[in-house]
Formats: sequence, C-alpha cells, structure tokens
Amino acid sequence: MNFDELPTEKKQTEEPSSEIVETNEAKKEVMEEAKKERLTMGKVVFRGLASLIISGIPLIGSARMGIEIAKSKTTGGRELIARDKVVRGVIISSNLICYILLGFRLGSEDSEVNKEIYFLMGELTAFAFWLTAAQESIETKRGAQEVIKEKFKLDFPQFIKNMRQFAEKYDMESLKEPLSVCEKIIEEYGHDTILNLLIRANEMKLDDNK
Amino acid sequence: MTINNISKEYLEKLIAELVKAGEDKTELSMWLDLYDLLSPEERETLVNNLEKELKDLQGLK
Repeated sequence: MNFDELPTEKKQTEEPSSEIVETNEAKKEVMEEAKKERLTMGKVVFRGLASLIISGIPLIGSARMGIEIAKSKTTGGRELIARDKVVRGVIISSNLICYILLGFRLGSEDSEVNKEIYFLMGELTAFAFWLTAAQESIETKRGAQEVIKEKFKLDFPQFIKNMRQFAEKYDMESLKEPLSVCEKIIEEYGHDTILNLLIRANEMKLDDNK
Repeated sequence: MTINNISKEYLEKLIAELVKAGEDKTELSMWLDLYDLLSPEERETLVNNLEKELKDLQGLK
C-alpha cells in the first residue's frame, strides 16, 4: 500500500476557531501518547533484534564460512571463495555498523540523533534479516528468493545512502570507516552481483536440503 | 481482535485510517515493515495501540 497517495487532513487556510485549535491539540496529545507507547515497545523489539543480530550473524557467518571453505577445498572452486569474501565482507561491515549505531544510541542524549539512529537501526535490521535468510535459508521456500531480491534492491542502496548522510551530518568518523568498506564492496561487485551471489548461496543450500 | 486473526492486511488498513487522520506516515510504515519480525504478543500490543489511537481520534471529530 502506498501511504503517500492517501489524503491527509486538509490544511487550515483561514484563522482556525478556538474549537478547532482545541480539537487539534487533543488530537496531538492522543498521537503523542500512542507514539510514546509504541516507542517503548520499539525499544524492546530493537533490543531483542539487535542482540540476535550481534550474537547470530558472526556465529552464522563463521559457521557458513567454515562449511564453504571445506567445500571449496574439496571442489577446488575459486568462485566459492570469491563469493564468501563478498558475503563475509558485507556481513562484517554491516555488523560493525550495527555495533557502532548501538554505541551511539546508548551514549546519545540528543533526541533528534536518537530518532535518526532508530530509523537506521530499523533499516539495518530489515537488511540483516534478509541477508541472514539468504545465507542460511531460514525461509526454505523458493518464493523467499523473490522477497530477498525485492528487499535487497529496494532497501540496501537506500540504507547505505541514509547511513552515509547520517555519518556526514554528525561527522562520525567511526561510522565512516565500516561504511566505506561496505561502499567499496558494493562499488567493486555491484548490487546485482552481490544479490546473485546471495541467491545462488540460497539455491545451493536448497539443493543440499533435497 | 485476538492474536490469531491479526493479519498484515488489517494492520495496513488500520495504518491507512490513521494516516488519513493525520498520523505520521513514516513512523507507521516502519511498523508495517517490522510486522514480520514481531512476536504474536507484540503484534497484538501494536494493533491494540493503533486501534485505541484510531478510536480516540475518531471520538474527537
């Protein structure tokens, strides 16, 4: 659903009456109260997801890497090693970004900065979720590949762009470093190549499961 | 609405109503993106929160 196409309440062109002002104030209060509740829930959700990402990705990545290296030795496939390097690079740099964002979130008292971190964490979580799904075939349905393809194309370039803007805006050197790694990997291999590698990793896993 | 019959479509509809009522599109769309990652209890809490907000906003008209 495209929420941009939905009409929002008409803007007041004339001086609003006191009754309208009162209603608008009451609406604002209702919205703020509801948002506050959601934010509390969001913090719990993000904390859980962040722990999962932090503990899960290096573990999954390492296990997967070990399997692939073992496989590449037996098959002698250069492509497997190359694919591993790309995927590992993306995982490690995203993981670093996640750690650094969490650090900023814990250390920052600025609500504006926190709001931006909050959205970036959301994007990172969505990306990491699909990356893990692609790597480990958490979703073993064939249709999952289409979802990964769609998500990866739509979310990742925008996420990196947003992250770069954020890092530049607040001059966060520690964030720029892993971000540059990520950007270099993407620049070198391209989104489509990385995506195809992920999909092929997923397909290989599906074939193994047959 | 109980845990079992909360669908993503229902959430979309609810969010569309709230956006029409003037709510923040960006924030609510994010919850829609996160929907698949939420537990059934979290989904129920979210939907209850949105339903209550919508009801309260409609009551102010």
